[in-house]
Amino acid sequence: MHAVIPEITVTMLGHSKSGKTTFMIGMYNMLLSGLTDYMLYATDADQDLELIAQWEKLCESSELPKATTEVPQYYNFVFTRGLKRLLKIDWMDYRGGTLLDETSGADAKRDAVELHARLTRSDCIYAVLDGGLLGDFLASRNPADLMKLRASRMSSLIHRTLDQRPVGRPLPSFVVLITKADLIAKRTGKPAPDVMPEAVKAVQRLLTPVFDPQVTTLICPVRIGRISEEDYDRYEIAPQWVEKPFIFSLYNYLTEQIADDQQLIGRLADRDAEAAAQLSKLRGSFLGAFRAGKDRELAGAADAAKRAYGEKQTALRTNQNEAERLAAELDDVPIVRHGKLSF
Amino acid sequence: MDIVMLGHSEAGKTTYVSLMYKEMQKRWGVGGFRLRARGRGDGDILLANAKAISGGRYPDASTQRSVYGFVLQHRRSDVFDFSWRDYRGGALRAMSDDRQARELRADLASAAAIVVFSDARRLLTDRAAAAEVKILISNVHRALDARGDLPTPLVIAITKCDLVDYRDDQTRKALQVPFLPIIEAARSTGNVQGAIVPLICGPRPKNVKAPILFALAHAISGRAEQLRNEISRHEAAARQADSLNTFGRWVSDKWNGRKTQGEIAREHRVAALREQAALRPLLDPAEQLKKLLTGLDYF
Repeated sequence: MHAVIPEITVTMLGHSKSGKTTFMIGMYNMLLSGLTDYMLYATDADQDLELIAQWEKLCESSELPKATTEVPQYYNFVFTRGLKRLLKIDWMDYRGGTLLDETSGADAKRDAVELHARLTRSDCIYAVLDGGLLGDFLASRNPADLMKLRASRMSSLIHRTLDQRPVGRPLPSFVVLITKADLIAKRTGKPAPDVMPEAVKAVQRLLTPVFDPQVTTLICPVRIGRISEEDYDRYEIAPQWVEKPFIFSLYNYLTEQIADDQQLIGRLADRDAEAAAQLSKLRGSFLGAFRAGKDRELAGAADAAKRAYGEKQTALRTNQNEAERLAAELDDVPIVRHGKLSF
Repeated sequence: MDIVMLGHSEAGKTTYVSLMYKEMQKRWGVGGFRLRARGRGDGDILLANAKAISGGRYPDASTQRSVYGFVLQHRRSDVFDFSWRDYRGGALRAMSDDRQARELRADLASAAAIVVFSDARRLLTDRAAAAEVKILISNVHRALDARGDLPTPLVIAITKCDLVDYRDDQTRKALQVPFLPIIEAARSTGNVQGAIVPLICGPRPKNVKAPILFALAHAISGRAEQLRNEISRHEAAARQADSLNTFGRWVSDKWNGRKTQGEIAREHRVAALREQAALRPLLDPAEQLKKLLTGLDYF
């Protein structure tokens, strides 16, 4: 009934009040209602109801979601284009203080241990930076403001994750999620197009490992709207770019899959040719007419090889078409590949 | 086959099923089609409700899940059995420790047709209705995903259209906007057939037969398509078994206590005949039902 679709594990890293949960709720509700063609739903209907209820509270009464408790929340999302399933996402939400907690010894906190274990098997890691704090730093250029972002712990965790990646397991991709991105322009007093390149440079300084030539990183400013009481007189929900991280995660997955498939197709083409050659040799031989059983066996193998090759070609074309479509959605966001930034 | 009604409290689901049943009791039916309630008590209750509605008295909102068993008749012959499932509106917002919520979710995943109800006046005037539609869309999305490639009719029934100016273009568009994500998503697939039906379920009902006829027409066509696929599969399997039915293979199968290819081919042929027998009575009604679907807003 369903074609097999990729499944990825996504882990967000970010400190308390950086906006991890607010982003997730905003992202979920925007995609639930459809953004361009993309949609999202939680496989657990109870979680779906909770995420909708939290968003409604945010919209109606500016009530931010409660800080996550010590018990991490796990979600399974399905990302679709229309009704076509594209990606399953295993998502973990945890309290921001977990980043600083001990992971061993008597003081080890359970969620901290889980988080660290999960990082080693994540396919994509979202590193969350508070855009309000980033805006303060870009306005003041005071190193003390940069320290408030507390990125050094995240940076060392990312570095350790890359270093300790099990052999044979591809490196994760990264999304540097700059939440509350509207506050960067607000606090610097500069228009967004002028200040964003400075923000990206600051990200490079704060999170050097995500600019490693071996990984691919999306730098994604997002906003839920004008919800900071400190900065705005009028409260307004106006999400922007909340769908880009998932699009990037899928795009990255597909490009890796395409590279693997192209190698596999080469091997399948060889197998197809070899099976056809063996059959042709048998049929051309003197004794071929008397070896009906062998003929059937080789004909079956040749059919199977041809079918496998054809199916892989079709799957490759489908993935390439989808990747092209997704790439178009990412045209306007900065992506770091092989250590170099491109728009 | 199950048809599931989905909608929040007081959207008009229970009112609808009563008026729909009454409409389908006309002497000559609707285009030759009538409904028969399988449980005699069900039919009486629905007709009593319909009579009260014609006098301006509306049934209480459902507190229980109701499952009505119906038989679609065509020219007085039974054609198709189906169940029509109604839930209390609160079940949509309830967590899975609520029994009705669990039943609703399970029924949706296997529903052969889904009819979504939404109150026109609330859609235009009550901000909370937008969140309710989101919950509806999410449930429909999950249900359609569970059904995969199976053909599924989806009706969006906008109720209480006598309380708004439905003839106005802007009003009509505003009523559809909250449902656009699922409408656009359904349009992009080949297996969801959708329609938006404005309903009036009061003393002077309007369009009441459209949702049931649409759901049945496409559900029966979908069932016919499934049966055709099964028949083709059995026939292909029978041909495959015939091609392998050599003397050597027969001896080997008998020696090893396996079914012979001849026996397998026969089983597949019997199964194909059985599916053909199930298919034949559906073909004409499916076509006739579709002819009754005029003037609908499809997607």
